[in-house]
Amino acid sequence: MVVHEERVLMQAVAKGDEAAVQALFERFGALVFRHAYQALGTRAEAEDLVQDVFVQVWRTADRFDPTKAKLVTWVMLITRRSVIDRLRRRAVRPKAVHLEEDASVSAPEPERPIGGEVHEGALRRRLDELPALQRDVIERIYLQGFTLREVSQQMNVPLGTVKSALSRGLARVRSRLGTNEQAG
Amino acid sequence: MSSSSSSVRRDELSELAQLHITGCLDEIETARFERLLHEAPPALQAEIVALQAGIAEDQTLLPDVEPDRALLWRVVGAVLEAAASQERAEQERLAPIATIGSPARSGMKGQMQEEDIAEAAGAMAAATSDAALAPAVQDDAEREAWNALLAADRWRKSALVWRGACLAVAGALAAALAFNVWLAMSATQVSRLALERVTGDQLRAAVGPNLADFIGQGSIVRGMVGTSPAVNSSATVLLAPTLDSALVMWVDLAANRTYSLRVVSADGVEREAGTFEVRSDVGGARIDLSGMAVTPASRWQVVDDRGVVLLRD
Repeated sequence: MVVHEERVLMQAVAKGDEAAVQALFERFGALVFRHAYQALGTRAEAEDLVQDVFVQVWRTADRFDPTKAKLVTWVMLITRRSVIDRLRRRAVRPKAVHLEEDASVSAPEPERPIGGEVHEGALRRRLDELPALQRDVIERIYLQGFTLREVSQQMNVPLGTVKSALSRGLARVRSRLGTNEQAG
Repeated sequence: MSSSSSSVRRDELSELAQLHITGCLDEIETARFERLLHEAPPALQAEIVALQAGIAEDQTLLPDVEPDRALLWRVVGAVLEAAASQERAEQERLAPIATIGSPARSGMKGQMQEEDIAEAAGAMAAATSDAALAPAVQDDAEREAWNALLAADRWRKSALVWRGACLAVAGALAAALAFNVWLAMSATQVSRLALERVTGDQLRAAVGPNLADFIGQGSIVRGMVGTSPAVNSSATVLLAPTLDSALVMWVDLAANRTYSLRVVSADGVEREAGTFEVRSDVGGARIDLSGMAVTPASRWQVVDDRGVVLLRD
C-alpha cells in the first residue's frame, strides 16, 4: 500500500504537480532542513540546500523505484549527497567545528535556536564518550563531508577500519541519544 | 550457501547500508553495495530496505529546529520553475527553425513584434511578483506569459531567418548577374582579340614576306578610299624609305582582276607605277618604283582594268 502511494506521489512530482510537491515537502521538508542546518549551521544556507534537494528530487522522481528503497531513503540519500557536496565546496570547512568547541566559550550563532544548542551539547557529549577513532571518523565523514577513502588516507588506517568505526560509532550515538531523550 | 557466509553477507550489507544512507560511500563502494543488495535473497533485501528507511527517518542526531513556513512556497516555486524551464527548453528544442506563412496560420493571433514581447514580459513580471503568496496563480500566469513570449520569440526568429534567406538569395542572384556580364565582356574581348589575330595572320599570309620589309622600317603610309559611295574597298600604300619600291595592300577589291597603281606627281602628271593581280579579298603586292621619281608628296590611285579610278588617297 505504502509502495503504491509513494509511487503515485513520485509520478505526480515528476510531472511537476504542485499539490504533490507540497505533499512531499510536508512529509520530508523538516527532516531535510534539520540535516542541512546541522551540517551548514545557518538557516539561510540550510534553506538554500533544502530548495536544491527538492529540485533534485523532482529531477530524479521518474527513476524512483519503491521496491528498492523507501521514499524517505531516496530523499535522504539526495540530502546527504547534497550536504557533502556543499561542504566540499566551502572554502572553510565546516560549521561542524562548533561541535569541537567548548560550548561555554564559543559565541552562539544569533539565529541558531536554543533547542539546537541543547541538542548539540548532548551530541557533543555523546561524541566525546566514543573511542577516539570512532569520534574522529564520524566528525570527518558525517559532519565534514570527506569520503571513506579520503579519511582512510588522512588517518592512515585501513578502509575497513574506517567503515567499521563509522558504522559502530553512529550506532552507539544513536542508541545513547535515543535512550537519554526517552529518559529525559 | 552456508549459514556463516550468509551471516557475513548480512553483516557486510548492514554496514554498507548504514554508510550508504549517510552518503559516505564513494562510487566504488556504492556500486559494491548495490550489487550485493541485488544479489541478496528477497528477505534480506527487504530487511536492508527497512534498515535504511529506519536510519533515514532517525532524527536523534539532528537539531530540534523547524523550517519557516515560507520555505514551503519557496521550494514549490523552485520546483515548478525548474519544471517550466525544462518544458520551455523542450519546446524550443522541438520548435521549427522557421515557419512558412502568416503568424496567424502558425498559431498566433497577429504579428507579434517587440511591443508584444515587452507586454508578455510585463505580464510575467506581474505574475511572479507575489509568487510566495499564490504559487498556483503564479504558475498559470507565468506559463501563459511564457507561452506568449515563446510564440513571439519564435515568430521573430522565423522572420529573421526568412529575411536572411531572402537576402542571401538576392545576393546570389546579383553575383550571378555580375558574373554573366563579366563573362560576356570577356567573351567579346576574346573574340575581338581572336579576330584581330586571324586578320593579322591572314594579312601576313596574303602579303607574304614583303610585309616585313615595310613594317617598322620607317615607311611612308598612304591610305586610299573609294572614289564613290558604291566602292566599298580600300587600300594602303607603304613606301620604302628609299622610295624605290611600294607595297600596296587592299581590302575588298574584286577578286580575279588586274589593277594598276597610279602615281600622281605634285604637278599633276599621272603615271602607272605597276600592276597587281587580286586573287582574294585581302592581299598585298610589291611594286617596283625605280625610275619613277616618287616623292613623299606624290598622290596615289588604284585603277581597274577598264581604266576607272576606284581608290585614291
